[in-house]
Amino acid sequence: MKKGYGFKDDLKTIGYYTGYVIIGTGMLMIIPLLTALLSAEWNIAIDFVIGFSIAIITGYTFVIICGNKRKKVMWIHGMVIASFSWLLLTIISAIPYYLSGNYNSFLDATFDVMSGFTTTGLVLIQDLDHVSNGINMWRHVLTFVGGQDMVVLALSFFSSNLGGGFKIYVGEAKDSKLLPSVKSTARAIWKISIIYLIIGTFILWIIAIAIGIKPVSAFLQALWIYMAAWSTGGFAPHTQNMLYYHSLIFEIATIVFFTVGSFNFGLHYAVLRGNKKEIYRNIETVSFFTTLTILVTMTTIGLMRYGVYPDYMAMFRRGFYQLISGHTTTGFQTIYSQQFYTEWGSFAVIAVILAMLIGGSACSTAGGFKGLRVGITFKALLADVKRLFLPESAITVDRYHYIDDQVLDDKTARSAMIIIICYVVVFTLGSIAGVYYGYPVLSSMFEAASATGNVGLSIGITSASMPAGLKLIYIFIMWVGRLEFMSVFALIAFIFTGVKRIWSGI
Amino acid sequence: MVKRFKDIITGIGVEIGTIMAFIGAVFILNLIVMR
Repeated sequence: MKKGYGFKDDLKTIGYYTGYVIIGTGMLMIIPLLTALLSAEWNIAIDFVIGFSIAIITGYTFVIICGNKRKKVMWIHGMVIASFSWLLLTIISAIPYYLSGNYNSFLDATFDVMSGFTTTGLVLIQDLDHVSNGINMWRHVLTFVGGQDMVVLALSFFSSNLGGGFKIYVGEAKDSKLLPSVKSTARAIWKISIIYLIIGTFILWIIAIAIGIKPVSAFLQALWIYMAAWSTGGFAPHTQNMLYYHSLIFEIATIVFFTVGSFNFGLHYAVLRGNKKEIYRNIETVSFFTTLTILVTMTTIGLMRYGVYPDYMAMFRRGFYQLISGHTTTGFQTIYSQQFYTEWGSFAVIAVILAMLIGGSACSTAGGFKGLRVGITFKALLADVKRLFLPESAITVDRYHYIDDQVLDDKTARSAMIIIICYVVVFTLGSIAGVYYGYPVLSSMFEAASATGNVGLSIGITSASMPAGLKLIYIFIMWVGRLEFMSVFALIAFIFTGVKRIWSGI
Repeated sequence: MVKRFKDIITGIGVEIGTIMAFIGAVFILNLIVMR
């Protein structure tokens, strides 16, 4: 830490920006509040007024108490602001959930908020088919905002002095700057998302009407499902998830939207600005389509062995849908959770676990260890093998294409591998936790991969009746998986350093 | 402005079209594997 920058100054800097993040996210409660008022859900409206008031009071308290003159954000501050804000926002955003009476406990409410923010999609909500419009709107707004970067968004719009914004942006596990400043990058991300939101909602609305849903309900469901698809969140307003609609065209439309949502924002920005070839050249799309093809083949072979889906269309609508939903880390399902365990067989389930761990693109709404890192690791491995066939004195420069041509150096390969190792370690610990609580090994692996990769597919473990300890472990692994470890490590290190500094009187 | 709008629409078309083409290719792959 910089000399002369005391622990109190660090706390004030972190608290000041965290305050703005809380205010910004609290403002979002106006959307479900209006939805509740328009739907004449008065009790729910009161819940949101209470939640909104607590968020605004807490946020301004942070800003006033921590509003010192030294607000230069250093790397450690950016990382801690991102990870700490996510924790605090999870607790504050759970207040309307808990007050609504749809949850058995406050822990269940925080689980669902973390699941929404991290775009996971695992749920503990009770009686989902009869949940109010206000709460349903809040669920989907949380997942939509969580996918785009709520911390940087809140700071971009509510803080005029965003010094060190890039450090907070990186803390939220996004490192591609679309434009020179973080503010303009955040706004570009939101412009892309809003353009797609309008188009996607309209298309799903038309399809929903065509399959017999009343126009107003169709609009709300289209909006929510689009938000969940684009943010690769996987929430839906029905217990049966996508199975509720029983519509091929609806399933194809959702596949398209959640796959687009799992692409890198840098790629969207390049393609929407006229660089159409980028989609075919980008290492992430190449990696994604390659791993998807391999894993789809594995799933099909696995399912054929058990004769689960005898015709092509059933195989496509069940096998392919769950696989691509897992690979993009969306979590929409067209089968019941238990069917993975009772019908699919181990081979196909392992293919889905691998897909969930790999995930979508970096700097997107998706989770997992990302196609970019898989592509880089594969290229690095290939480069090392190639070098074996060259003279020892030969100097080679390896490249990969990611928006521009990039040099593949040892540092890049090492960073990619460290994140992959961290994911594998957390996934392993999550699997062990499931086994410890008495669940079968494969089921524990499936649910741990789903939580670590922020996917949302469930094999049946996640439910309100699962042990509280396992709920806490899943909350933790969803959080670290979404923030890609570094900012959480920074928060833990900051707490330990702080205790040490207080102890030694600095 | 018109060019910008055209680029956006074309870009969305390219993204959605690529995914649709890939879905079609995977469906054919499914057919081949199942045979």
